[in-house]
Amino acid sequence: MSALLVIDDLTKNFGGLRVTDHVCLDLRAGEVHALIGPNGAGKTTLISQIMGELAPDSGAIHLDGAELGSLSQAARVKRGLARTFQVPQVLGEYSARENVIAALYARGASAGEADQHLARAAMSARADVRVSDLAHGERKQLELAIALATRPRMLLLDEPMAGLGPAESEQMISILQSLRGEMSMLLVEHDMKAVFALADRISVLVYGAIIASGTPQDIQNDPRVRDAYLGTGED
Amino acid sequence: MRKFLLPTLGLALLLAWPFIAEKIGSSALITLFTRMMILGLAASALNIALGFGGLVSLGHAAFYGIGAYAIGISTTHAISGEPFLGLVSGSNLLIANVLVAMVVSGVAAAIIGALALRTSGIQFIMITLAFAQMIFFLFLALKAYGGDDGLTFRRRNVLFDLNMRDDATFFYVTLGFLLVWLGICARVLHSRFGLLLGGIRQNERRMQAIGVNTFRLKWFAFIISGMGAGLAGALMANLGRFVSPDLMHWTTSGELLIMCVLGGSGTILGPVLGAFALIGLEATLNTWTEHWQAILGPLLVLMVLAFRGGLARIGGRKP
Repeated sequence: MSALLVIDDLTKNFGGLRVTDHVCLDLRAGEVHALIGPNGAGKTTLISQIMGELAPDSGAIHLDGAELGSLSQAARVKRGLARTFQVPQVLGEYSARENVIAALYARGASAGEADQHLARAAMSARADVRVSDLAHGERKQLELAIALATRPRMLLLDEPMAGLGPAESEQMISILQSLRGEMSMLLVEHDMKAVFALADRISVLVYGAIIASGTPQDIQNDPRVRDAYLGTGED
Repeated sequence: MRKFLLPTLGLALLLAWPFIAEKIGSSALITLFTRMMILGLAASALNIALGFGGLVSLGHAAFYGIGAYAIGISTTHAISGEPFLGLVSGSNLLIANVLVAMVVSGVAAAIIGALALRTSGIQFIMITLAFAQMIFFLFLALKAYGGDDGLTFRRRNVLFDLNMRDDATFFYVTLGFLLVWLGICARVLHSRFGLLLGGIRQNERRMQAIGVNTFRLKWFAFIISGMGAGLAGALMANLGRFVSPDLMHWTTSGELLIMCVLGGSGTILGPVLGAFALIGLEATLNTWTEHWQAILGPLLVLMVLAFRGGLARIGGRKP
């Protein structure tokens, strides 16, 4: 598989704190690449830099061979990047369907497509419910439907399982499984069950730096990863 | 059906108002209601930025005043026969002057918006206020057009063969402009633009994440809003046949904000209801006591607390 998104020597500092430390990462077309690491490792900051919400101090990001440079978020979305948020960012006064329609209008598409995206995120039954009345898990699913409406080639998922119960997590895993192959996904997640169920490859980010990359089995067996994040299983 | 009942009754009352006012022998009430409609239009224009776009502007008095001065300056040049800046002749045609007023106000809003919209929150409020005050002092110093004395012209602008001297005729002309403007607002609210603008008001970060150029949309909303305020200023100039820098004083921006909040920002009819309520209260209390503002202030606070969401949302309605 060829690389769709290439992150090359990316560095970002917040004052004296280095939150992204010379990160290099290749995300291949069609793969699910999980990014794991302890809280504060810089995972969300990395997503924000890929989306153009934050500007890196140095380094480059390439999508399909073209450098994204100082492109705006809007331009990056048009090129096929989309994201979800750890805390769902939705339009509370609108219905679930109107939230998806907003994403369709932003792309210049017609509202008629909305139902198919809601269906893919298992939200058809809640399409006309005002978003402020939706449960947390439903908002997470709605965020996914909104992201799908932008027709992404690379979907950046920021902790899609955060705050979900076991049944909701199962449903989210199943929804993401159904999207496999249609687009690439960068999955930032703490839920290891979800990570190992979904990921083709895993990278581990600690203190802003990638300490390991490989298949799920490689990562599980890597002593550095066990020390820094996964643990050894010994008391 | 119920949704349309009160607006229809309101419109019927307005259509009959000049006759009612004549019957009760108080033709001044025609002018008062014309003023209410014009300020309702100005508040409704502010509502595009405030209620639909979430942009709390304290600078709309500038666009309102610029619209009024466009009429005053154009009409004065038409009467004197001297071209404006030696280049453009004035006009006393209402439609031409209103279009000029809207374009000039729109250009001013485009320039101020391009700078002010790079900020948000309290900074946006302060920068719009600062621009409005700059324009206020500019016109105060503009001796060629009356300075602080303002500019008086003898006749209202001409519209077809209508007798524009007649207050009732001007009342209906104003009502026509108000209805057209409210129709435009309804179109904006229910368009793609309106849906995206409402999204920006609710969660700008979300809208950026789906690829919306939020700055550009807010800028368009600010320009449309400024043009509407300019239209209201043009009508107010014609109503009194007088323009002065007082029209663009910051307190005018404050009054327009109060009208929006009182009537219900983010609704089509709310700002107009707010204008009728505020001006009506002012006019009524003014006849009772010279300290009417001391009563009006607490009364407004009570009304805003009692009718959360504004008068237009009483009973859960959102006209």
